Amino acid sequence: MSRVTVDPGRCTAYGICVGIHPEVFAVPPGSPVAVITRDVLSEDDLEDVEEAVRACPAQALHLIEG
Amino acid sequence: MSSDNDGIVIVGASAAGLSAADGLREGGYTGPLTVLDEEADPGYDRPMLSKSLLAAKEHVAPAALRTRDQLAAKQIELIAGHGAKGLDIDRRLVVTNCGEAIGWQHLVIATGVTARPVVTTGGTPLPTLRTRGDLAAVRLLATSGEPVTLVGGGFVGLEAAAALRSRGVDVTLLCANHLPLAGALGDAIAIWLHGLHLANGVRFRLGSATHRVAETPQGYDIHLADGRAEQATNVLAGIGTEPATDWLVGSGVQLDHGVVTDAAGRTNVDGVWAAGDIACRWDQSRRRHRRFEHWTHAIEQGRRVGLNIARGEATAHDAVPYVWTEQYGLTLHMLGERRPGDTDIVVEGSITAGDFVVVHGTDDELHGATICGRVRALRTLKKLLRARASLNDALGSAASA
Repeated sequence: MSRVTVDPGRCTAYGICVGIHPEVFAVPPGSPVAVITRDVLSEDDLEDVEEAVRACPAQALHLIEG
Repeated sequence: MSSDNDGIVIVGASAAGLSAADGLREGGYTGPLTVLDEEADPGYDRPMLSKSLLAAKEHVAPAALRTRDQLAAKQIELIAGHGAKGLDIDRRLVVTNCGEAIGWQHLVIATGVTARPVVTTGGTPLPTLRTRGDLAAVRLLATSGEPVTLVGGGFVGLEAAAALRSRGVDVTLLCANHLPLAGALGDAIAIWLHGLHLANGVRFRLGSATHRVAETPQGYDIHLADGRAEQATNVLAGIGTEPATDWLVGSGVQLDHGVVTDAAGRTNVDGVWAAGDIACRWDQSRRRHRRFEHWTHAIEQGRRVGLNIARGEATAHDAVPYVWTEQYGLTLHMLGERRPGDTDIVVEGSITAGDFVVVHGTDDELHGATICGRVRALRTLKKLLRARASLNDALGSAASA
């Protein structure tokens, strides 16, 4: 099962990932980093999650394909 | 750096340029790969310059888009401080500001855009906010305690206004339109956004373009096209951008408000490609060449060009435009493109509450959506736009959500 992780050392909570896939990524109010709200990704999620990984200015997201 | 013509050179360590480099490696290209950039410390997160980086009380440097380790792992050679000054398409050489002539088999033009200058009658360009250096200067303005007049009511002007107000700076904004961003958002959202700025203390001069700016001992006299005049202590101009094509003039690469490409990113010159803000790309759905200045577009289109070169393909890049803006802690997301004359329909929430999903279209065509707060609607609408759905489909999806 594929999943995506956030590197808290790099993430600065810009939220571009939320704009691309709001059902997988969220930046709760006051949170210094983005959080993952869907642990296991479906086929339908992958294209947008891959785009979010590429779009992250801090390169803080990693897709672990499984 | 390759002195032969067997490598690939990317001009501009922009989001598009670096994504093209990644796309080349992803697509299986293993040869020499060089990225040139005229900035000494290139490759940083530009959209945040007018947002959180200006609002921040402590100085924070813009994030580097790639670490040295990331570049090294992919064998991408980044040469900073070496900008392209000319292109020889016959001998396949790019000439740099340092006098080098670098050979290429394929070249990717990703030099982006520069801030369109506003020049005073004395010949001095007004400060803008486009680069790392600009940010440092504008942050100094923010701490000076002096008022700032913003010339231009586009995204950068409004974001800068919000960021400066959050730091207590007295802000006046001059905007040529009757309402800021009315074309992109529609009147209903634009009225709300204007009200948000008014409530936060921004003064507006709407409906008249800036005609002439004269320097005075106290600062500037700004003459508007309708005859009004405005005195300013400090100014910041944000009236749009211009493609950075100077180095390509006379090269043989076709230019027309950017570098003209087909849907796959190829220019008229074999082996020369363009990606990102500078690319004026053939848009099949709108039947004309168009340029986008969107973060995600630059990245996805850059990657596509890289993949196309590596794989010997000419696959079109075709994605739903997406752009966002941050003002006063709210994020507006815009999908697709509102067109002139579009109807704007609230499908969820309320504009005045700053929590809404609005779709834009005519008759039965969905053209775009503007979303604030209710981000879960983003993906549904992106899929509808990608599928060229109707306005009715969008209304139906909201009803069933």
